[in-house]
Amino acid sequence: MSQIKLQSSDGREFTVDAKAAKMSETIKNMLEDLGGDGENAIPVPNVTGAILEKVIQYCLHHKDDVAKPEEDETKAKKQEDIDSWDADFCRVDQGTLFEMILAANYLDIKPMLDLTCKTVANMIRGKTPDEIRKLFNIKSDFSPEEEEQVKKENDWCEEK
Amino acid sequence: MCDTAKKSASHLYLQAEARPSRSGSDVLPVTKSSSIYTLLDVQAGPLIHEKLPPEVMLLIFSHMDVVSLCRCAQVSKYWNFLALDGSLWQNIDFFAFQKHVQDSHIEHIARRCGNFLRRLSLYGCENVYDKAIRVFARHCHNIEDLNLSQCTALTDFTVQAISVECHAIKRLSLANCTQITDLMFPFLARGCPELEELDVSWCSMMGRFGLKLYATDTGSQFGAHFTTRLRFLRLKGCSRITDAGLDVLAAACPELRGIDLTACICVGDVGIRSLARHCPKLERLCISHCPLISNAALKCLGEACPDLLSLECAGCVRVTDAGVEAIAKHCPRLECLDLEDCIRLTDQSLRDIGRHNRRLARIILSNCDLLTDDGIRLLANGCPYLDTVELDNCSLLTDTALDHLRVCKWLSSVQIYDCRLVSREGVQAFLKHLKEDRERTVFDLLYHQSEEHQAEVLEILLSRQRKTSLCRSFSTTPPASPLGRVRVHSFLLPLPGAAATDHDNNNENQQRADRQANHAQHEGFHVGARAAHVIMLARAFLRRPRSTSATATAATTLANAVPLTVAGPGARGPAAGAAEEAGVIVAPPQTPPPAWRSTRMLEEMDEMDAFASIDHRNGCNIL
Repeated sequence: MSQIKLQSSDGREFTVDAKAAKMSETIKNMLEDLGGDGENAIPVPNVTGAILEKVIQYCLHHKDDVAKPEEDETKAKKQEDIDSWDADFCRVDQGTLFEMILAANYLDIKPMLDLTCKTVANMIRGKTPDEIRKLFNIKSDFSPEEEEQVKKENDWCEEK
Repeated sequence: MCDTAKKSASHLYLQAEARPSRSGSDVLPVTKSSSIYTLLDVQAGPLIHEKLPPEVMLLIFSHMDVVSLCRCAQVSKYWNFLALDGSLWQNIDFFAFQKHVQDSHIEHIARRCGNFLRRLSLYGCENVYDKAIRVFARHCHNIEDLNLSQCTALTDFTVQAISVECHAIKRLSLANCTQITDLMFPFLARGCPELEELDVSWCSMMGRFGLKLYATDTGSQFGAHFTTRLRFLRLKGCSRITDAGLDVLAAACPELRGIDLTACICVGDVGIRSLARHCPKLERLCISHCPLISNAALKCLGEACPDLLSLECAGCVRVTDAGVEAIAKHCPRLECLDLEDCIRLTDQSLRDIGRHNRRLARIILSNCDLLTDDGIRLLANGCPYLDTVELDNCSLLTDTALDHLRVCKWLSSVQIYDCRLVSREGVQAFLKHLKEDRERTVFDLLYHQSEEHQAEVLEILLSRQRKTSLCRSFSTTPPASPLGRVRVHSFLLPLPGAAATDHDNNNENQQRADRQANHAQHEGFHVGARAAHVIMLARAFLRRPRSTSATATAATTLANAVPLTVAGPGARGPAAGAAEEAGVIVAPPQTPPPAWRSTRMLEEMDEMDAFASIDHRNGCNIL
């Protein structure tokens, strides 16, 4: 069984290389549970066709990756380097990016989840609280006193 | 979509409710209400909140550094709640902010993180006082790794607070905490049964109370607890520790695997004899620059500690061939031997080492100027797995010595700085001999000859860089600065590295070098130290007013090439693998191979200026 079929929430069907599909732990488990005959499409109810297409694109590109050894916790935080294909892959609008995160989370594709989360983290990095609010259209709900206090609590990391 | 978010939020909401209510005036009202659900309701507008449930937001936050987290905490109440979630704060390193960190910050973070916190580094936070650590200890019982190096304001009360609350602590560093005294040992013995590694280097008050107090008063407790766990103890530069003090400590730690006594100038043969008797499992020992040490100490060590893997006794000028013979004969597993400045050694020592220590991978013989080519032959023939050989200023050596070294197939670093009888032809022949198929070879040559010559050698190495990633150090003049050449050894433990200065064995300089080394390593440069180091040197080279154009070109090429070519954990990986396949036992590397990171190296270099300023021109070799 080298090809399997996936069906998105809006009813679109995709035929995918099995190895790529199995990058998703969720699909892998489903295949094992259902015994998969390759005839019936596996439903992916939480993911729309447009996003599933992106997911499949990612899986096809990365299906032959060697599993990375567990990274050191302390180091992982610093890692912000993303290779160019991945960076291009993530060049989408915020809404799509968030959907991709949700899909990667639901389908349990760890590298894709890391990549997309990292992308958002990189968008935030280096920005001031005000810039972050602007970026995501968030309104501050602190009272002036609270804002002053929060600022005080977190000022140790700022250059003086 | 909003519904999904709320549904997931409720999961976190339950968790939040289950948490013990936090008290303390400076904690935000946010956590008092602890209802993320209501917060989310208020904030339902923005797309990111509509789409992403809190647990996914936390995933995103988990990819952030502390600065970003602190800024996120100021965005809104909901973000504040998320950014200060304990799970994001298991490992905290205040290194970059050391000057600004004050008690209130530590206390605040301690309350936020609570029992999540496993690793905390307050390295260099000089404005942190005992009070903050008391608050911290009360909240963070699960701390395992605590680095308080150079928190100079801390006293023994800090250790007391830790011992009362933090029973899980495994690694504690108090290096350079100059107010800490040996009165802290009873606290540790009583309250920290899990302690495996302790660093009290450069605590100049250590030993002030004679270390005898608890030998009589609380001796049983001290023994009962320390015995089981403590593996590594660093006492670098504790110049008040005497033979008697060392006897008490050693008696309390029979499981000791490594101890660093660098520059413990009051420790002599008697102390080392006690150590050897009490700690038969000793594997790594550093007694460099302990001027009282003589052959007697080495004989006791050899007889009592057959498992010794690494011995550093640089600058122990009383040591002679007889001492080395005792070690060589009785410690067949020896992998690392530092005999720098043991100026009385002759070829006899090399013969004994060659005869008994087949697994030797690393030997430092710099400034042992009685050694001859014949000694090198005996060494090279007996130790086929040699990886690093340092022969700086062994002035009798000639090209023949390099010829003899060719039998060592795993050589990755040879230093012949100031060997005036070694010719350029000899070096070039040796370089050409290095097999091209050996990948990831790192080759160091510290050189006494002209810059044109260096450029030439560089070209040779660069021309084969596809196969051979390389690391070069330059030097044209003898060390002139008070610091001299700084060498960072990977000694005892991966962190923090021991360092030694050449020529000038003054404590203060060593301490400075040590700090620089810690500084560099702490920044994570141990990861790419070699490559970073090369770039640093290359840059220094370019700045040099007298550089010839040839050198400059070579250095530029080098600077550009290295980040791409340096890869892998040094020379031993593939080489060792091949040898093992052939059924040969290969001595393991002395330190766990660091994960190499070559990207971003150049950016990081800029942060490294403090370290780089030591002295490039005289060569600075990080191994």
